[in-house]
Amino acid sequence: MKKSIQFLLVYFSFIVLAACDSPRNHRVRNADDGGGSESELQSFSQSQMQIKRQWVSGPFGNVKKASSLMVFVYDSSGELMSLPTGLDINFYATMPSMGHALEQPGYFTEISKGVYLNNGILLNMAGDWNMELWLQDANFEIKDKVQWAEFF
Amino acid sequence: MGRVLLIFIFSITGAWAQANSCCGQTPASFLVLYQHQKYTLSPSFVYTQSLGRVYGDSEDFYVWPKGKERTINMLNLNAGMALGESGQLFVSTGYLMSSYEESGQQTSAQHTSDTLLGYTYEVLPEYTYSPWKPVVYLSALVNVPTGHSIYDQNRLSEGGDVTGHNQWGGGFGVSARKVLFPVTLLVQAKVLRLFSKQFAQTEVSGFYDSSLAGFVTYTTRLWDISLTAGMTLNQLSSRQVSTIAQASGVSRVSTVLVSVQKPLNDDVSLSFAVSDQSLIGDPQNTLLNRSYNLNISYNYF
Repeated sequence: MKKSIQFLLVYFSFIVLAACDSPRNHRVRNADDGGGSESELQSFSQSQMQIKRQWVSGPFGNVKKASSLMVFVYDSSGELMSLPTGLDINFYATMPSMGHALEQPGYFTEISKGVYLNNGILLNMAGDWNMELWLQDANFEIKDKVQWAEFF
Repeated sequence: MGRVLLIFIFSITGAWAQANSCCGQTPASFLVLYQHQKYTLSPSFVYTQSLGRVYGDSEDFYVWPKGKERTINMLNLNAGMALGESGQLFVSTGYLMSSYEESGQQTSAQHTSDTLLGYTYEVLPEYTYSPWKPVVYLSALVNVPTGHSIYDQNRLSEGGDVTGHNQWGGGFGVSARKVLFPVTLLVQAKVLRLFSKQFAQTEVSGFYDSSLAGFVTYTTRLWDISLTAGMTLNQLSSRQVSTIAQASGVSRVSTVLVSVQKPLNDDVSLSFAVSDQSLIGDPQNTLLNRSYNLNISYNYF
């Protein structure tokens, strides 16, 4: 019995020493998810269009809880504009550190001139995400894109 | 009874170290039969609860808030049989029932885990007692893709329904064991190469799943109970995914384990183990889990 106690004492002493670099020393409480403010203007690399984006709800790291993203499309003079005929805007996101994409990108519908809303984005988990907005033609070829990083 | 105790200790180590982290991992430790054992059957029930997550580029451990819960009930089966004097075969598989709850919404899924097959050969036996020389085993390992991968269609958040890599894999393991009664030392290392696979929506490159496990067991005189303490280190190398320009980061986790074993008779032993991944180390890109493992081990001589 005495040796058992000695054994446990030695083991737990080792754990206490090893725990100097414990994940428990770096605990962070998750902030609540919620909608965000409007982003700064972002330019596509080739087209003259610019966009602003705003999370209406989310982003949520929950595959059962859809996030909603609103995108505002502007022309070179800063006026809201509809996408040119033959072009669609689509959302895509990846989690580079984990090596997987999002579960479902949803799709955008134009709710007023130059304002597009996507209510069906499903992200697998919270964390570091690389978000992208693609301009795609009718053959789903990516003609241009903007991207940004987000942590939630 | 001492021999029986030692046999049980080696038979159940394969059942303890079930790393079950998003996004897939094979067990850190695998079954090695002790001499004179013909067959071993070792079913376990494992309850795993996720405590939070660490990401790739910082040390922050994001503890999940109340109401966000990922739990897994796992029925695990380890079975082994001797082949002649020095050879042995084993299989390790499981069935997982996962549940994910957030904001009052609960979802669940069930799936088999990956299956690990192995052939082990005793390369350094102990014909005469040596105070320092360990008995060494080499194992050839095959990962059979019977699990559900993070690259399959997922229905649960936080990789709740991920039960393995779901990729074929091959590799080897080394086990070294030394009995200095009443203390027993066991060290196991494993490297698995998972081969590339085309999933429904993406192609995943090959990568390595490696682990190092060490266990110290002390056999008491109190009701033949033995106590085990151990640590396992698991690492998944980075993967290239066809739909993502950047390769994934390395995933790494350290697990601390304590266990109590009690032989019920010459053939049957019971063990209970608790493991925690949030206590030590420098984890990256992984969930940190706590598991409770109840194991019963049947041995046939």
